[in-house]
Amino acid sequence: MADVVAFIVMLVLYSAVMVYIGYRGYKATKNVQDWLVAGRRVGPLVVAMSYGATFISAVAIIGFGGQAQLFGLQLLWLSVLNIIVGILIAFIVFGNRTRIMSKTLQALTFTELLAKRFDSRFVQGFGGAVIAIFLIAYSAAVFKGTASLIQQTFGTSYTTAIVVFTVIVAVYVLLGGLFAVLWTDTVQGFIMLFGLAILLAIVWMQLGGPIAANEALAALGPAKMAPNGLTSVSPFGSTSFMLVSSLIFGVGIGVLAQPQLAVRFMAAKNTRAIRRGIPIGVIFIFLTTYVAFTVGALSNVVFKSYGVVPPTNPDLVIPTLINLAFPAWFVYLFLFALLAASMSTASSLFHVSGSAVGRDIYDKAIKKGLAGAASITVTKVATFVVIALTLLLSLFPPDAVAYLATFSFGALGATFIAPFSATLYWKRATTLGIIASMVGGLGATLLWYVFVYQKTATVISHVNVAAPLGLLDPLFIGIPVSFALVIIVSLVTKQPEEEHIARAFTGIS
Amino acid sequence: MIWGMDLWVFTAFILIYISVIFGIVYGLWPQKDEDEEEEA
Repeated sequence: MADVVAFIVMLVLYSAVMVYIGYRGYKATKNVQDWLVAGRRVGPLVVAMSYGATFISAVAIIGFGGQAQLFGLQLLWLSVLNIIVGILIAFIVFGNRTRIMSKTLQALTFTELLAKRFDSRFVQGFGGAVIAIFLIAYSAAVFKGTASLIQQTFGTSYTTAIVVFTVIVAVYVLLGGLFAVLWTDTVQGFIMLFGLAILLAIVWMQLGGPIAANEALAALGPAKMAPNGLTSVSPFGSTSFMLVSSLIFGVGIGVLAQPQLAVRFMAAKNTRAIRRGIPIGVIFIFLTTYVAFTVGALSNVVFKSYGVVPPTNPDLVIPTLINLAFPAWFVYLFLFALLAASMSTASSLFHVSGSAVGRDIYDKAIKKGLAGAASITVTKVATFVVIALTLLLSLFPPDAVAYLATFSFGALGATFIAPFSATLYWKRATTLGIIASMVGGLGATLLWYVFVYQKTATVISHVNVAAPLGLLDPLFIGIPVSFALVIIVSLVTKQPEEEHIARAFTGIS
Repeated sequence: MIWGMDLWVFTAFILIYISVIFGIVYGLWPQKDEDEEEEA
């Protein structure tokens, strides 16, 4: 009981801090640039922590921790990609160019950057619509997962959990725009690191240290999804190898060109802010993903030592482990870390979806550009509508929302990775090339989800394509199609005007 | 087996550490002041 009271007190304090940050953001927000890109004056700590906290949601910790129980330590390859692609390539290859070009072109959203670079309202409207549709569905899924977690731990009703969660996030996002999102993310990121570091330390202590823990895991022998054992990679070409490698590359590469992450680069105040953010980013992603995957795999040893059969639903592996083998105070501390992880992701998704609806679709694509105060009001109203819609969808989720959430990572990756790369690096890319790439990449990915990818096709279109093709992640199709289209269509269409290109690439060597 | 892991998993483990160290060194390495150049 004392733990529950302590948790509630901490929750109230935590909410008060979040709302206070929202208020500070409100005071700092003077115009639409402040609301959308935090006035482009954010330093390295906040850029990197907010990037990491948005990147890693509770779904990633619980979901992929659960997958690690099935696949074992081979999932550490996902941690490798998360660090190399998600931080090193994202920051070094994309980060600074995104910042400089968005500043030169005065672009305030991710799709506005693409639209201004290619002088196309269609790009902004279409990009905004893709972001709105898929990220609202994804937000609803994040909410649903968090509310279920709170419901399981406290026995509160699902509705109460989801409404309280939404109200807290809504207040600070609507008050302080990106300032509030970035600073709350940073605080939440530290809470996540604290909770996860203790989680790994306790598991290692229980199992006699990291090497003894690995040896105990290896001694468990082969598992269904780890035929060579839980500390070994699956045999090349086996079903489990296909599943795990598809998962690793799909998730590992899909992170590039996620609008909610790219906007951090647009908010950075200078080159130094991005460069100095890299050490913080790699340490954050290392501590979160490495801990989640290692603890997930080692849960097999802990379950065995307690004589408990691991849950069949992977999403229940980490919660069951925590309730089984950890002291009550840690259960609440960990719940706090998960709450922080969910809120940091949800607030960024709200902000980027609200910007997509208000700025990209209504303001720029439909109204052809509103002036001054009207522009910021529209974006705020749109963000409110997005939050209300997400709440409704998580309270009464139609089947389509679950599918859209599943598609979201792949759909965004296939729509934006190739156009985003061409925007920053290929001066010969044309407007038609970019449009073909966005539409074609998205189309190919969705078709693959509906008709080929086993996980979704068997349910949606009742088509069952055999392995290995049926196990191939849709991103493996969408991204090559998208790159091929931007190259081919650009080469056969008229070269962009040199003057415009020279302006867009000002300051980029 | 190295520290309880097969060679491929151990490679991932080492790559994680190498990438983290690379990220730290790259980010903290003293640079000519690009921001001043940009402002100019």
